[in-house]
Amino acid sequence: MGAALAAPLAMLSARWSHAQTARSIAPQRLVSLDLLITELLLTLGEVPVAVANIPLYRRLVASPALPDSVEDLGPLNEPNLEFLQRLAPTRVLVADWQAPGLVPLTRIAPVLPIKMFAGKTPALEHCENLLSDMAELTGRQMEAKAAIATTNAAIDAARTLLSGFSRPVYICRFNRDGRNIALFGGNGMLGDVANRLNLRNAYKGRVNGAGVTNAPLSRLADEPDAVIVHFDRGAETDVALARLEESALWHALPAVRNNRVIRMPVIYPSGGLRSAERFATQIGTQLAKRADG
Amino acid sequence: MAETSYLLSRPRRLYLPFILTILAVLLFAGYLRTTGLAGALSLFSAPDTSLQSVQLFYGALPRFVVALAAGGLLGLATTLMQQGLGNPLAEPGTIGLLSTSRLTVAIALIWLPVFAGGFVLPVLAGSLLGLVILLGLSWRRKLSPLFLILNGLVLGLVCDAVTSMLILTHYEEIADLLLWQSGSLVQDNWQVARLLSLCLAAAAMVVFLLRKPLSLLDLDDSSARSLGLSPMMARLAAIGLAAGAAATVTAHVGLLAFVGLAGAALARICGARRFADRAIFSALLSAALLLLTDQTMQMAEMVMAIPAGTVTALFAAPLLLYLLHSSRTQPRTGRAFDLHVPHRLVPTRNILLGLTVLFIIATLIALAVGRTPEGFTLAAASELSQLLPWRWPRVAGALAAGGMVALSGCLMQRMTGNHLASPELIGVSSGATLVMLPVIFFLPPLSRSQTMLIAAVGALVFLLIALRLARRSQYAPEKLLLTGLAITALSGSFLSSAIYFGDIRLTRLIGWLSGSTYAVTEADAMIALGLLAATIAILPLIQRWLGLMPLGEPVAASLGVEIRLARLCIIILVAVLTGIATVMIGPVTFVGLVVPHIVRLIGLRKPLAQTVGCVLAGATLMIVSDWIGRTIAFPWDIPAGLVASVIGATVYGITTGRSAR
Repeated sequence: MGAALAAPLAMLSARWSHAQTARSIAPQRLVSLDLLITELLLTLGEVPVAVANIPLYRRLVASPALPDSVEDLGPLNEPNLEFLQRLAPTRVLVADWQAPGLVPLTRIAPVLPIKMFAGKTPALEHCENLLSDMAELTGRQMEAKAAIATTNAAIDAARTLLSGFSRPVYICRFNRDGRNIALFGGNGMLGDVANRLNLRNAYKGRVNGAGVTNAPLSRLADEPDAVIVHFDRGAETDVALARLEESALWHALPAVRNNRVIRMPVIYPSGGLRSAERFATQIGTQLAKRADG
Repeated sequence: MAETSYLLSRPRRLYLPFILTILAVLLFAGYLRTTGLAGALSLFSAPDTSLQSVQLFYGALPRFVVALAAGGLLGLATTLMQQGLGNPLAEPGTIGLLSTSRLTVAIALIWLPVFAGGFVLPVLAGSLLGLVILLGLSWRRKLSPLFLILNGLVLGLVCDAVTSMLILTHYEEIADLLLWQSGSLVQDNWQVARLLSLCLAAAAMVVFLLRKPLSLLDLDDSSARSLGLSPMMARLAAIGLAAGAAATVTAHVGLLAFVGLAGAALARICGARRFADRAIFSALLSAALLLLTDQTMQMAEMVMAIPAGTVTALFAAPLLLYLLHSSRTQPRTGRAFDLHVPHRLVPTRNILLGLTVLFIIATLIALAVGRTPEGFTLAAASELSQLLPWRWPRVAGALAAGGMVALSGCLMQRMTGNHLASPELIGVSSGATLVMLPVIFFLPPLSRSQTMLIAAVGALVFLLIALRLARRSQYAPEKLLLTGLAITALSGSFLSSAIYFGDIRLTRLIGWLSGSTYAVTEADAMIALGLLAATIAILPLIQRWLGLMPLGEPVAASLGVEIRLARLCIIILVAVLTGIATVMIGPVTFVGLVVPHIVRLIGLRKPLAQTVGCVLAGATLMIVSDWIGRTIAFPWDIPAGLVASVIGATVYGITTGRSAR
């Protein structure tokens, strides 16, 4: 229902902001050196002149799609300076942790460090703030509002779907060795979406700045009632599952015995609003199918 | 003297493996109690399918066995390798086999994921390949022990450099490598435990059967031959067996660096002298050490999962340093190390002139030639004004840092009279890194000159530690290198824990550690150039010291060298040079070791000529590396330190191969 409400709003705002952009802001030549910044810019409909590490963006984030016109500057932390100079950007957006290594860039264009790791702020709130800041910068406030509304609508819709679902959930990725896993939680993007969906995250321990931690497989035994949601990284996940088939511990897990394991398309765990939206929709529909289980 | 202290300490120290094991068993019991798994033990006769029972019988127990078997195998492998190479420093890690395996695993993960299944194939391939390269390089020297170690170190450094680059460029794909290299002993069935135990039994059997010929390797080659042994065959057998055992462990539980080395060194210090004793003791001690480490980590797991491999060095390195310091033993240094440098007829002046010309050409190319999406371009005079502000700080930084590292390697080799001494190998660069890690993580961003100062202080501290520990043995290569390895392993362990727990922000640190000149500013470059120039100006003043000190302290003192003053000056010089170069281009582990060798090989042997030659050659090597790194993979920028390692190793391989004929 939320999504239905948001859709016309998004269309409306798109028309609005075009008029506004044309009026006030000269076209900018932006450059992004971070995957999340790139995702947020594209969410706003602002196409950067160049970004760092295009192949990585296409593989990890993928949507919103990066147009072919965008140039590749090479590594995230050390973009090619001479090439960048030729592209004559008006502003370079970098993650704050990258900035100390990028002092030479300031000679080409103003460098704007953006705080990437939110610390105590939940990741989605942080992303919304970032998006609003970037909207100020590009004069696309309307797109920002629309994007935030769409994401919230998707999350609301998923939460409604999941209202009957009470089991705790492990959100994880299986390591190739079949003995270790990566667990997502805390205030990271995936953990935060789970919180907003009123899902109980079965993993409550420490996570790193990106909201993930490595743990042995036996961690999944801590919450016997849990559902295990894991990300599909293609061949890697196939190898892991083949190994888990041989594992006594795996077969002893209540979730495995009672067929409460869900494989879902991979989401970039440090992604922005679009990634969050996809994750919410995905996990909502998948878990809702098992609400009775 | 040394002999009596051995005998006195013998009875006390033989208990060491047992005390360690008992401690570990107590920890294990504590773990079972606190997790409530002990309850499942009463069902010992019939493990059922309840979760607790499965966790105990398929998790905790096999993990216990794996720790013992893996530790035992590593201890045995290390003793075999040390016997085969006649060198107390040899370990699968120190002769580069762990690094080659790590590289093949990384390559398999990125490009051949089909083969990366259990890491077994890539690890075996990597170890085999490493062994073939190593033996091929060392064959001409009849597997001379120290030469082989040096080749192994070079091989390991190159592979590590390339692996770092792969981690940098494929950070997101290579999570499995980061986990595997941290050496986790977590188990969920008996496969690995069974396999490793069988391997341990088999290896022990083979060692038992071969104990006679292997013991004879303690003698020098000609005596061994007169007793009817082919030393070459015995060595090959020992090394091959050791590499196989180590590869099995590595493939199944990951990198457990330093466990075998610590066990073997402890066994020696405990008083095990004969080969059979050392084999048994180092196997027991390594097993006990690994078990203790892993059980401690298992206790901590409730808070945070930390793999054993990342902490083995944390446990082992301080222990080793302490024992090194407290023991009064004189390591055997029977086999001297010499590169058999042929006397050249080319006059020194011509060689220096040639180096200078090369240096100038390299500088000009690096400044004028660049790469754009269209290809290589020679900058026109008008464009140069735009491009030079980008290029000159990098070129100058590379130049200064390369010259500094090469020079400090040369100074250290002259001061200690030990051709293996170099800032990287005795742990000075790693010490600087060790100090830098917390600075990068916990302090607000510092300016580069502040970091330079901190790194120089770190280098000085660790240089003093290393020299202090090695002084009593007249800077015996073993002691110097053992200290260095301990410090290097310590900083490596910190780094791999940081990588294990950290996020993408760490790629910046890895980039810096790989020797990237990307962020060198004009001010940094000026400071470094100024310091290098000042150091070169001092060189003529200390050339007499440099000429006499390699003869040993007593000789130098009798010829009128003020040893204490000379040593102090050179130490401070080396620390400043190393610290600053480390900040500029990371702890490049190659230039300081290889350049002085190469310079000696091409015929520069007098102190002043050699030091100046080192500055020129080191600077040229770094400038070329930086330029190649900047252009070869456009728009990707490959850190100069990585390129330098590969170039340096190739040049090294060619020169040593040629001069051996």
